[in-house]
This record gives sequence, structure tokens and C-alpha cells, in this order.
Amino acid sequence: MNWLEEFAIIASIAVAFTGALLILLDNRRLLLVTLAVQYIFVAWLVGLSLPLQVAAAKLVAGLLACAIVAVALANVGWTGQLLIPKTIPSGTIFRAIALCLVLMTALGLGGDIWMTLPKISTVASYGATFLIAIGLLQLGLQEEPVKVGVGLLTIISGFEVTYTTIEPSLAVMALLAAVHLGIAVVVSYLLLMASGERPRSESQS
Amino acid sequence: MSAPFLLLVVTGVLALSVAFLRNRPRSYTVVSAIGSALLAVFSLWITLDEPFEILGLPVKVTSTWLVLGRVFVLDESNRAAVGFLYLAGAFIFGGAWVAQPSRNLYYVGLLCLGSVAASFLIQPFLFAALFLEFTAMGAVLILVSPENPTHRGGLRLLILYTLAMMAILFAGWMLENLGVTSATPELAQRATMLLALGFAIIMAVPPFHLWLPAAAEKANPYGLAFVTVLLQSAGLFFLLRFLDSYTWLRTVPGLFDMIRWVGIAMVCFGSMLTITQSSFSKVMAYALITDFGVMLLAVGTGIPEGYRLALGLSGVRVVNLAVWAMGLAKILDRPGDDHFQALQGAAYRSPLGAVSALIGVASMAGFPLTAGFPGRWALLSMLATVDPIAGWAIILAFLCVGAVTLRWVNTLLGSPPDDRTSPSPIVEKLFIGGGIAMCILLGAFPQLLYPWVTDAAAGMAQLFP
Repeated sequence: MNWLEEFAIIASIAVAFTGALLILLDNRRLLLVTLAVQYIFVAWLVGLSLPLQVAAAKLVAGLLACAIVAVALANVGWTGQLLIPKTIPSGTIFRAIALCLVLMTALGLGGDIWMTLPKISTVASYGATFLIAIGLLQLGLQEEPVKVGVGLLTIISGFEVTYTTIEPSLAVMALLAAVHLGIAVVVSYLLLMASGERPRSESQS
Repeated sequence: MSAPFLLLVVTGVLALSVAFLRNRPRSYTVVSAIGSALLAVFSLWITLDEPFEILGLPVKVTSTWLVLGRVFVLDESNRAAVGFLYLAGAFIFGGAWVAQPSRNLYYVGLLCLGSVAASFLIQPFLFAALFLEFTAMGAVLILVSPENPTHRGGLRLLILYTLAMMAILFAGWMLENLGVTSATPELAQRATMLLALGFAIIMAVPPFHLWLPAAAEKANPYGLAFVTVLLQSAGLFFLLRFLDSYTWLRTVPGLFDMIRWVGIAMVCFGSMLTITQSSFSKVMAYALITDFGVMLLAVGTGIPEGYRLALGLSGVRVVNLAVWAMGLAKILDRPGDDHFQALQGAAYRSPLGAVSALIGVASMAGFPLTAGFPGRWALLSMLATVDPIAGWAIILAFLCVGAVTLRWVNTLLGSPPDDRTSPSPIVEKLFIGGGIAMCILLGAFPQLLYPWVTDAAAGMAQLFP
């Protein structure tokens, strides 16, 4: 057993912690930094079932996704919040309570729901469950493009932790990496549109 | 050279070339429509795996393209489907001459066509779910444009398709690797539930339809028409491939009954909500949900004729939506404002546009002598013996959407607020007139379209023995 497997529980706890921060934070800079850190631990969990180089490729794709969103935010402003009708309660206390409930549920389910997967380790299965649960909560609570994008990326990260154990083909991994980048591009585009700023090609035509 | 490689790369090159054509909206239309039509011709008639000569030069186009251990294959089983896809794209891009949607429709639309084509070509076909996710991403870029920056519908679409992708990939893995058959009921139930969830999202089964009305509220109608045609056609084809590949799935007790009940629920839900809408785009959004429900009723018959009808209805939808969206684009006074008051008397402003929009909705309702009628009539005849309740649901849909059409006739012919007219150039008149003529022609002579569209699934040997 190498050190990656020996200390994998750190990665599993870290994804839950970073996921929780993604729910609670409103500062867009911190949000992206947290997402980038989360990708490091996701790559660690993916590395339990894949060669480290392949897991590193996932990390690179994730960091690129963060960079793409960061560039868009740099254009539209880090502090500006989009005016979105508040149809869902989204105060910090409400989010914290919802987060506790979701994390407890994930903890209860974590070891069992991936039972049919043959090669997944218990620690990785807990990590995946945390990521998917937190991502779903994020999608349920937010309608702002950045937060929804972060929620989607979190869910897909959790999905990948489990899916790469059963489908380790390069083509699928490349396509899933492209999904991360694609979501980042879509979120950036939506940010530009919502802020009234046109992509350069649009404004010239 | 490999045919899938050529198809996908040329699609990408076309998209790039459109992206570089600035300030020339007509050129976008010409390049996209003609390019798509040529790709349709290529996929339908290219000689595969046998040498032939072009201008005296020997050429051999292979049917497979290996990428990172996965294969894209263009063969007799899917070339008709790919051809249909590109022809539908050419038809819609052509109609964009009149509707003049955002530039995104052309180059992102071409990329979406390529993505759906890739979903038809990839082996094992389970990974088509990933390409549908890419198509959904492109769809967001089409629905949200500088003119319509509201992102709610687009974001919902992206969320739902991401969830569908994951559900279908997992279900696919279970089917391929866990030996799921009718002899393993527990596993079969889990896989079926995951598949049902994935396809419910893709088919916009309520409550997973939420992106559609939200998108219809603000998005360009032509962009919306393109996105729904593309996503639904790809989804239907994907569903049929699942039913074709896994024989046990067709023998799951109550599966086709469940599909029919879902179809009935969609038809009733869509019909009722169509009546309550005051915006023309939202009328079409709910009429589309009704139409998807009718398509599911056809699949739910569980017989080859039913599957053929579902494919035919899917082909007819291309014409209906394009005709409606072209017409609506002409009668809109201000982009995005398509409520009763705004469109009062619009028929005097643009008579041909009004006729086109109304024919499109009427055809979606299944009015006699429109393209939508023959398919629904045939399905009604089929369901009369299999499931009379489903038959009544189709009649309800006809009555509700038909009543809404008549109400919009009344609105468009109402007293106009002013005497303005918006004259159409002759080319636009030709396009709109051609669309209307096609809608009526296909209503009178369905044999022009149905046999050809149903060929798209000719390769599914289990479903179409």
C-alpha cells in the first residue's frame, strides 16, 4: 500500500470540507481557490484507482476549468453579484443547516450505495458521495451561473471518482475532462452575457 | 481517410469558417445550410471500405476511426440517421435566412450537429451520453445570446442533461458489465430505474421539462426550435438503440405500459398548460411537451410500426418547428415580446409570417392537411386496439392545441394598433412560402417523408426485423 492509499482518508475528508466551503462562501475569489484545492483532492481520490499521471491530467483539466471561469470573472468583476430573484432561502445559517443534514446523509449512505462497483475503495466511495451530495445541494440552493457551475463541477468530480474505477479507458477520461472545460466555458459565457458584456467576436459583428 | 473523421472534422471546419465570417449574416446561412446538406449527401452515399476514383485518383474511405481506444463507425446501421440529422440541420439553417437568429446558432449549431453525429457514430454506443452532454452545452450557447441574456432556461438544461449523462453512463456500465438480464431482477430493476431517470430528463418528461418554458420565455424562437429538434431527435434515437441492443429490456414486465402512461401524462399536462399560456413561444413550448408525449405513446406500443411512427413524428417536427419559428420571427414587433397584446393584428403587419406561424402550430396540433396529421392519425388507429385511453389523450391534445391555434388566429387577425406593415423581400417570401408548402405537402403526401425518415433506424435489426 503506497502513501496515497494509506492517507486517502485525508482526501476524503478534504473534499467534504472544501465542498462545504463552496456552499458557504460568497466571495468569488475564495470560491474559485477552494474549487481548485478541491480538484487536488479529487485527483488524489481518482489516483487510488488510476495511475498517478492520469489522475494528474484530471487535476490539470480541473485547474484549467477554474482558470477559464477566473478569466471571465476578471472581465465582469469579482465582486459583482447578478440580480437573481430569490426564490429559495439562501442565508448562511440556512445553508449551514442544510449542509449539515446533507453531509450526515452522505455519511450514512457513503459506504453502501457504491456496493455494486467492484474495485472502489471505501474511502473513495465516501469521498464520491460527499461530492455528489454537496454538488446537488449547491444546485438546489443557487441559480447564479458561477455557483451552479461550481455545483455541476463538484457533482461531476464525485461521479468521476467512482466511474474511473469501472471505466478506466483513456477516451472516456478525455471526454469527461472535456465536460469540465465545457461547463467552465458555458458558465463564463453566461457571466459575460448576464453582465451585458459581449464576447469580442460578437461586439465586432 | 476515414468517413467519421471526415464528417466530424469538416463539421468543425465549417463551424470555424462561420465563426470567422463577421457581419455577413446571409453568408452564415449559406455556408451552414449548404455545408450541412453536402455532409448529409456524403454520409448517405459515400462508398465505404471499397476503392473508387475521384478525378482519376484512387480513393478509399474507411468506415471506422479509432480514437484513444474507442471507435467511431459510419456504416449501414447508422448512415441514414446521420444523413437525416445533417439534412434536418440544413433545413433549419436555411430557414434562418428569414428568422435571422443570433450568430451563435450557426457555428455553435454546427458543432452541436457534429456532437450529435458523434453520438450516433461512437461504439460502444453507451458513450453517446457524453456527446449529448456536449450538445446540451452548445444548446445553452444558442439559447442565451447577447439579445436574450436570460440564462435560467439554459442553466436548467445544462443541469438536467449533466444528471442524465451520469445516470445513463452508470446504467450502461451495469448493463455491459454486471450481466444484467431478466434473470437478475434486482440488478435489472436498478438499471431500468437509472435508464428511466436518464431518458425522462432527455425526453423532457415533467418535472424535467422545466428548462423548456423558461427558455421559451426569452430565447430566440428559431434557436429554441433548433435546440429542441436536435436534442429530442438524438434522445429518441438513443432510446431506440437501447431498446434494440438489450433484448431483455423489451421484456421487462410493464415497461411499455409505463412508457405509454408517461406519454399520456405528458400529453394531458402539455395540452392543459398550452391553453393557459399568453405567450406564443410558451404555447409552442407546451405544445412540444404534448408532441413528445405523443412520440412516447408511439414508442410505448412496443411494435415496429410504433417505433417507425415515432421516428416519422420526429422528422415532421423539424418542419413544424422551422415553419412556426420563421413565421414568429417575422411577426414579432420587438424581439422577445410575443404576448397577446404585442401580437394583436400582427397578420396585417406580415400576412405571410402570420400564416406560417399558425400553420406551424396547427401542424403541431395535428390539424388535417398539415404535416402533423398523418402520423397522429396512424398512431390513433394503432392505439385504438392497444390502449384506448392513449387514443383519447391524443384527441385531447388535438382539441386543446387546436383551440389554442384558433385563439391565436383571432389574436393575429384582431384590430392592429397601427397601420404599419413590414414588407418581406422576395427571397424571404420564397423561404416562408416554401416552408408552408412543405408543411401542407407532407400533410397530403406523408409518403414523401415517412419511409425515408424511418430508414434512419434501419440498422436496428432487433427492433425492425
